Amino acid sequence: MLTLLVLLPALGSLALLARSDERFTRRIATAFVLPSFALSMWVAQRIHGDTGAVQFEEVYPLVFGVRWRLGVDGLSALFLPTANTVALALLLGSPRASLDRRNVAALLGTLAASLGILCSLDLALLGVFWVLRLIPGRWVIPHTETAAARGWFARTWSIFLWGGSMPLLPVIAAAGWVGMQAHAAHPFDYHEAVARGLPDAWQLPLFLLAMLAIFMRLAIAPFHAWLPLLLEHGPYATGTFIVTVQVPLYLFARVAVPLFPHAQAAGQPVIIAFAVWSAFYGAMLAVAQRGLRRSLGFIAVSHSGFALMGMASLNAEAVHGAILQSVASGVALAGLLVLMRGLLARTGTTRVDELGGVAAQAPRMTVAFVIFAVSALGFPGSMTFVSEDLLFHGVLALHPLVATALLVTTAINAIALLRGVLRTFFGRPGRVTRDIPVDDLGRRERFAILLLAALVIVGGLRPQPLLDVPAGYVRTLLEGHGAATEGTHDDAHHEPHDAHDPDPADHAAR
Amino acid sequence: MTLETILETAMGAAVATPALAFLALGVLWLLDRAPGERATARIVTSALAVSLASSVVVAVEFARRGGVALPVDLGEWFHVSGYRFELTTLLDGLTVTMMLLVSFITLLTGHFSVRYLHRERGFFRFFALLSVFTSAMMLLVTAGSFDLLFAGWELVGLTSILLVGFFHERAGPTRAAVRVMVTYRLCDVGLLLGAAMLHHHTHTSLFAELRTSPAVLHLGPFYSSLVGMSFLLAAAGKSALFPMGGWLPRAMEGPTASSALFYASLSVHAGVYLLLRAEPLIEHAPLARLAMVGVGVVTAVHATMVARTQTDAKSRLAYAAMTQVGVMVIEVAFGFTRLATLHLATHALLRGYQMILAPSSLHTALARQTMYGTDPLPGYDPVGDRLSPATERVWYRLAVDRFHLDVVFDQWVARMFLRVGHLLDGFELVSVRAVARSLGGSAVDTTPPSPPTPPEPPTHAPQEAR
Repeated sequence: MLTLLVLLPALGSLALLARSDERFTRRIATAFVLPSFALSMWVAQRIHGDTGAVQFEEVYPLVFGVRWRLGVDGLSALFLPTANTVALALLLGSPRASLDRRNVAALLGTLAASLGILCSLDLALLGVFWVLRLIPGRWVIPHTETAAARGWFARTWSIFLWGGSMPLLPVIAAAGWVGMQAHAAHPFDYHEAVARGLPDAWQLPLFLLAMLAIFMRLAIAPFHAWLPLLLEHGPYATGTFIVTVQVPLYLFARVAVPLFPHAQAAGQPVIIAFAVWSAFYGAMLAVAQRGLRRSLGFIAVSHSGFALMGMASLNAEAVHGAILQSVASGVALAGLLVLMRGLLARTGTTRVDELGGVAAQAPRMTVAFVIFAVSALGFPGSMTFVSEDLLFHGVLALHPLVATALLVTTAINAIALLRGVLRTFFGRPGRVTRDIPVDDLGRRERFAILLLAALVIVGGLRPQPLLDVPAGYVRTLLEGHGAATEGTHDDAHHEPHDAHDPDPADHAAR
Repeated sequence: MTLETILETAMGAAVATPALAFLALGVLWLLDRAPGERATARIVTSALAVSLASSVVVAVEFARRGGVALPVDLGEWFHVSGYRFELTTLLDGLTVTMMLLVSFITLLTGHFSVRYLHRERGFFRFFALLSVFTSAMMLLVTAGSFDLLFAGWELVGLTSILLVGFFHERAGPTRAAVRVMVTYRLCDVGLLLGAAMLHHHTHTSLFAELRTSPAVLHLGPFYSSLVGMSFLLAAAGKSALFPMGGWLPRAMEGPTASSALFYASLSVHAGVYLLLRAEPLIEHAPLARLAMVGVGVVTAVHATMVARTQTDAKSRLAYAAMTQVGVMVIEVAFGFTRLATLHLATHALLRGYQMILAPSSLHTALARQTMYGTDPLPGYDPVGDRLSPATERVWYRLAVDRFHLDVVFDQWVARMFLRVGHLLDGFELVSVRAVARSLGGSAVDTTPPSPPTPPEPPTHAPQEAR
């Protein structure tokens, strides 16, 4: 089941690459993504959210003790349909010119790697998927104005690729090494690695490396510069997918917290400080932009800060809020980016000072933009309202100053985005919109937008099912982390290999 | 049917029916089947009539119960371990008064707008937003907790912004909408912060527990004042109190019907309503009360002086509304809650009526002049008569310039804020280029740092008094 879910987009990507014809690209891609989407919905609907245990497990042996071990728990079960929904909306709602065969193949490749990360229960396999996630996008870096500029963007991508990947590899290698020293049959098995832990002396450097990878991929300031660049100059579909589906947050919850409980506990204030700064810095820069895409890039940086803030707070409300925030903000930002691409295809620009008065010509696009903008900003009735409410209460318990910073930042984000939307769609027509007729959303675009809008609004009005899915996972994560850090306080000479929970079966739930 | 069931159904209907009308309009619009003016008006006014009828039922049931306050639990929105967002409404005298007021005024304004906006391009949009506003306002006044009130509060703000920008083909309304939005969003931080602080320290944000919960009673003057002042910030944004009121005359760019509804009758009183709800807490918050008196006095004096120098009816009415709202805040600060409620209700009705009449005020004035042969009200200026001409000129000049509050806001708040953003943006670009150079390439041609945006030209008075 899960193997099929992961492999379908990969096969779709290969099928497209094998063709030389551009025709039917969208249909072929949809034919592969749609079953994957249906499977992910089925998994999310059938999963038992009250337990943190892994479900739908599939194991096939590979080489050197590495196994094709896939499984889902409440956390990944929520992210799987989100990734598929975003990919599907990108396929259906993007302008034809943005989706040539190579770009669609890259999108499907990135989707497959992301689904692989979300399902992997073997650290080596997870590492492979982690690296693979960025490779397809590298093939399709678009031509910018000059070769030098293209070269620069390619280098930025490579820094992001290797900077966000390489630091994780020693962590995986170390976990495998410890497993081999313990003569484990499957040294890279995730749950066995968590149960074994890592030697004390390795904890801090490895934790720092893991956090570097996560910060870079999550675009936490000051490791964020790639994200606005990616949205402005990078490959559209793959870039949008990478920005909106926050797999790095998943890695933080999946690897950094359970593998390094003590380092995580000790470093919590620093991580939260980075998250707060990122949220604030992103919001301030979003206000200063004149280009909608770049502004949205900084809002995405700010939202990454929110999600990390919640996850690092490690209390039930905040973690639930962070998980829901990454889903809600991802879907809303994806909707905005799809619409923005449509606007770019119609007008050739997304600069606020060149647009204006779009509402008179494209009322449906305007309404859709407003809906996604207010959804991204946490207005009542949207999923983000629920996630921000939970996040806020969670971080308030941690420190009132953090909560205040979160509130101020949400206000600045709202000012940045709504100001951009009002100036783009309302008022007198600008230099570009004065001369160019702007067509309203087409039928296919409307369908894609409705898909995303329905998810954001229904999820906002009835959020409980979305909160129930990861409930067991959150409980187990917090209990596991609490037990591990308590062990540190109780025993100054903490033995890394002593499992705080001696029953290996229970570790499946971590 | 039990009393509780009747109450729950009626309160639910009062809040939800206009939202359902909006949903119906939205679905029809999405299916390319947007109804014509007559059908749109019927759908919305029928929903508003149901809302009013439901409010009357609630009022009657409340009276039959002898006017005893009753929290009505409508279940929960969501929960996670240790936290629960409850959909609790509170039925008391204030809620009933506000429900009747909101549903009556919205129905009346809706009815008025059918003819007033006839053949207007945004007819459908106006009625769709009117439905959302009514539901949001009803949610705001029926909410039993600050958390739920916030949901209604935000939606009221959003519809307000969209209606200020109603005539979106002109630049003025868009600039005004941006200004309203910025003020609202900054001040809404106060509501969230206050509610969260209250929740954090007392583990409740229910209105019904503000007088009874030992945790609230023992909160102490410092935290009570902190919470109270946070709520005052939120109220200052929504009710255009000093120094946040610069958006109110700009908001007159919207159609008169929405100006009457939002800035004369209902939305502008939402801040006072919030303070009325928080009054049991504010009672123990000396600093917050002091701040409220100060803000109320300055707002009333400032607004009444500025009102006298306005040259158009809507701006004058807007400042007159600000004056009265300032007085209401003083009343709440002194604990005169019944007086403040009565003041709020009567003022909402009177000012809404005046605002609706504003477009025909010239016609009315001419008719009066014809009838009396001269201006029926001779000039009476007891303060001005005692001032020297030089002093009077200074005050007059200040009042005409609205005491330079807009300039202060534009120069020292908005521009400084944007300048910090541009500085950070410049730093960002420099650092990206430095990395590019160190890698031996040239930076991609990213957007150059934006020059500081000049302050948006003030829109002192609406371009067209619609």
